[in-house]
Amino acid sequence: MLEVSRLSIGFRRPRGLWRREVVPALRDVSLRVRAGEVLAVIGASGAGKSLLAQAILGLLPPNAAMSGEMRFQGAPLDAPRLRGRRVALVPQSIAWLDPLVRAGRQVEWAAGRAGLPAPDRAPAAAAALARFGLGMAAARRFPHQLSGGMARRAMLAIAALGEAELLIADEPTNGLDPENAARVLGHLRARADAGRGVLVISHDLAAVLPLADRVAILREGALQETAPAAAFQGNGMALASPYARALWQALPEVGFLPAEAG
Amino acid sequence: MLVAQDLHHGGLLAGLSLALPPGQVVGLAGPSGAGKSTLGRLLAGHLAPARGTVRLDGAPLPAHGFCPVQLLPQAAELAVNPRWRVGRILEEAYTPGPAARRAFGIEDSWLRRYPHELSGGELQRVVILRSLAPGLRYLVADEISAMLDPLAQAALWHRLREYMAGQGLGILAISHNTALLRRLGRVVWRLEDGRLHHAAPEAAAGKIASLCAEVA
Repeated sequence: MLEVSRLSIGFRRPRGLWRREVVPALRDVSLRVRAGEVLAVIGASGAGKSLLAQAILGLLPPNAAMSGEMRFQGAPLDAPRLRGRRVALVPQSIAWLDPLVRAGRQVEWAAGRAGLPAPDRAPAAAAALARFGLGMAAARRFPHQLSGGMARRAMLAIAALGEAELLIADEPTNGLDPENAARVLGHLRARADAGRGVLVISHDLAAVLPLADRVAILREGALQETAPAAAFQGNGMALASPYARALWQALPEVGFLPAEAG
Repeated sequence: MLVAQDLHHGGLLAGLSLALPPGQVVGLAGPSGAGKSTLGRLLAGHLAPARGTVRLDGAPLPAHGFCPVQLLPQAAELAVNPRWRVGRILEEAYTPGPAARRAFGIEDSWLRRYPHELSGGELQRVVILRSLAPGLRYLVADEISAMLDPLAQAALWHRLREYMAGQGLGILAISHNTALLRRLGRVVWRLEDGRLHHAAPEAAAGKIASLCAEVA
């Protein structure tokens, strides 16, 4: 469905008075998301996870320099035409919602982008919100009046309405209690089971392991390995890279070890 | 010993009592909105209880000056003055030496920056070191590692525990992650319906223990 080959991203910035330099942020990253699977991209803050999502959606800042190739359903990825329709993002922060527009109205806009005729948009929006446990009271609120968990679910409802083939979720469990996190992750899994592709970006290895099919480990802009989720078990000997093993062994459920063993 | 007795507050806490011994980590879990953060604020003196008392070694918390019970909030960026540079923030209560800064991985180049120029994890370490002033007896750590990757989380807690063992500090660790709380201390409470309950041990506890043995 989505194929990323040898993607590198750097940021141009001035150096001294005359010269410019490129600060590398993502180096030679290759990965693919298949229909019907959840691929998790895991890494520490600053590893380049969100940059990867921005590149796929064509939302990189203007001073970014990109090389490599991205293909979607066999054709070169045309982000501006696909995003919000065939490729959808569930963003990390409520800053992506319009602060001056009530939540329900923003879900109706999504129904419009999905191609629904005007009279059908309001009922479709209400149904999408109800699927995530949000009623009319929540729909009437402005984004800042929603709790973090409610806002996340409203953004999921927006992404779900589009029936996009590829869903990208950036840190979907941040700030959610286990019950709401399970609800959000359960929905993402259901989307994959319905034949769509799901890319989950997260720092929380323990939370995403139960729903992921494969896990890509990113460190300082470079892909360490892509392992099946089942490889994260026991003492992690099925994992190829020392960093992936260290991440696994640092989990409180496993070893709570603070550093990479030599 | 930090002792809270018969705390009532805003309909959230219904006669809650809790004792924190020095030199130990006590865990606190519970559903969202149960009042975990409110209890933390009461213990650190940020809020006064509607009824009940918080006493440190039998005396009420001081009303002025450095409070020996410090709260580490979830969002470090909301606990600092955005117009102060990191160096000034760090020295608000005392002057941590270069060795202490190194122990918490705080680089000298950060001191001239403003809070928004650090990542959430970096600023978190600044806020933690700021709280470790002489006279500190207890820390209330409210979801301080939820935004960290597993390695950074383990490193932060190992560092804090080392410091705790050296100083006889007591810690109340608030988190949704009960696996983490069980790693940190023997006692894990669950706040629900305004009262504390013993957190039920997970079914997977046996499996986890065997995994640890393999890893070690």
